[in-house]
Amino acid sequence: MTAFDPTAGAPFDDSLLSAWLDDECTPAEAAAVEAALASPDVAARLAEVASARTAVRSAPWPEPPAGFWDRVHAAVDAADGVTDSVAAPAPVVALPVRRRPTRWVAALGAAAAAVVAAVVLVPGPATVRPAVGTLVDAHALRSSIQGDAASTLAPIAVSAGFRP
Amino acid sequence: MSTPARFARAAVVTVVAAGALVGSAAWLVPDAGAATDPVTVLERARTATVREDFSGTVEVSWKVDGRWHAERTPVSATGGTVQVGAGTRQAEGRGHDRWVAGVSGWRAGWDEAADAPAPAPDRHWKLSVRPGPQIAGRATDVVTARDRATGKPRLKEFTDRTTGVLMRRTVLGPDGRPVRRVGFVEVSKLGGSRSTPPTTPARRAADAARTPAAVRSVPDSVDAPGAVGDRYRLVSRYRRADGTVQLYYSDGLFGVSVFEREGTLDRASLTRGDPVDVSGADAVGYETAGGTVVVWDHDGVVRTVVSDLPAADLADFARGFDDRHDAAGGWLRAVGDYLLGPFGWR
Repeated sequence: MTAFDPTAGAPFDDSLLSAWLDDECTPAEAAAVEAALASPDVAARLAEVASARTAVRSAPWPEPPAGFWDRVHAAVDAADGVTDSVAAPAPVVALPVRRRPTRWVAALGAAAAAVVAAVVLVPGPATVRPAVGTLVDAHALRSSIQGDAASTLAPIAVSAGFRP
Repeated sequence: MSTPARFARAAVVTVVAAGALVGSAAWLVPDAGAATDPVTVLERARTATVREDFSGTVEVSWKVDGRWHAERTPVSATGGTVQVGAGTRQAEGRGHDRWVAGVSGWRAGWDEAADAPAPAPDRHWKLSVRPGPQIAGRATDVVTARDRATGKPRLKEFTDRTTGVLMRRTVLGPDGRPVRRVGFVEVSKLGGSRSTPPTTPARRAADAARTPAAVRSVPDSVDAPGAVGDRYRLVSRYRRADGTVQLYYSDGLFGVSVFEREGTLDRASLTRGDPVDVSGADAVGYETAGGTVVVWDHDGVVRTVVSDLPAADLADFARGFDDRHDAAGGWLRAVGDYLLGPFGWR
């Protein structure tokens, strides 16, 4: 394509108007179009192009007639020498053996993933540090409910801390 | 003989006969003031602090490796409120409320009533009562509980003959020798007029939410047999604030608390104790002022049992608890697990 030079008096290429509307011009072509739009004639042609583009893009797509695409496909197949009914069976060729992971390998992987998930996600058993002194006092408190209160509570007053 | 003379002779005979009857009765009963029904004596002692005011000093003594340890503490009952200890080691009880004072002040310790009666004391024990020695200057009756199988005395409770207040409780080992004792060594007041109970500071009830709560069932992860052996019966279940389950068993004279918590026992955190074999598990045992203790873990649950039972008896209890657990694969348990398992409780 020839670059438009408004100063050279060369004829204006109307295809640039469409390209300009689609923002597909190079910087130089865009500058040329915008300079040419100073001409009322060019501006009128730009309006016509824009109107035509809008009309085309808003028109509904026509539905092809019934069997159109079947005929197209048959024509393409005929051109390639292939038909559905007479196609000779292709010789069976053994594919190169592609070793796939055996099931036990997959199971092992799943088990390993489960173990990792269990270790990471499932909390382990809590470590318990019995507060023996507190539990001894708790037993005394409970015993005092159904027993003699003085003798059952007295150990609480003397068992400061846990002294075996 | 004239009629007046006959009346006079009849009167003399009647008086002599009555005197002889009273005299023979007094001869037949060694101490006419002594109690005769041990169960009544024990029940009277159990409730004496609600009826009687007293104050004095109690000594708690326990035997470790053949050597006695002893500590004393002041004790009083005023208008139904029992107070023990002083300073930063105190406990107080009124009704079924209990408070404990430590270095950080008072806190609520218990506020649950017993939800089931303990077995009758003569259900598993052969009881007898006879006059006892003077304790802290008071005349006593002593109830002796003997093992029905061996005939050995295992517990003596000495009660004040006048008021019924428990003066001393002595626990005896399998050989019949004392291993633990709680009793008055001095009494400054006992009986007489009752006083107004002391006011309970409001602060003592501030953290009542931390007290154990009675529950009707326990988590599926812990075991709570209704009975251990043919002697101990489950009386109550509680859930403590930290998630620990407390089960309370009784045979009528001895109470045993079982504390269960899910997890594994951090043995390094335990104070060095005595090795105890609980159904193959390496348990640790202690003798403390408050009772005998055995700690072990079983099937992912850490168990701590506490009682004033002698060590040998508590170890038997622990083994019975685990054995019952292991043998509990019967159809009834299976049905219970099936029905209640989805709820996580049984």
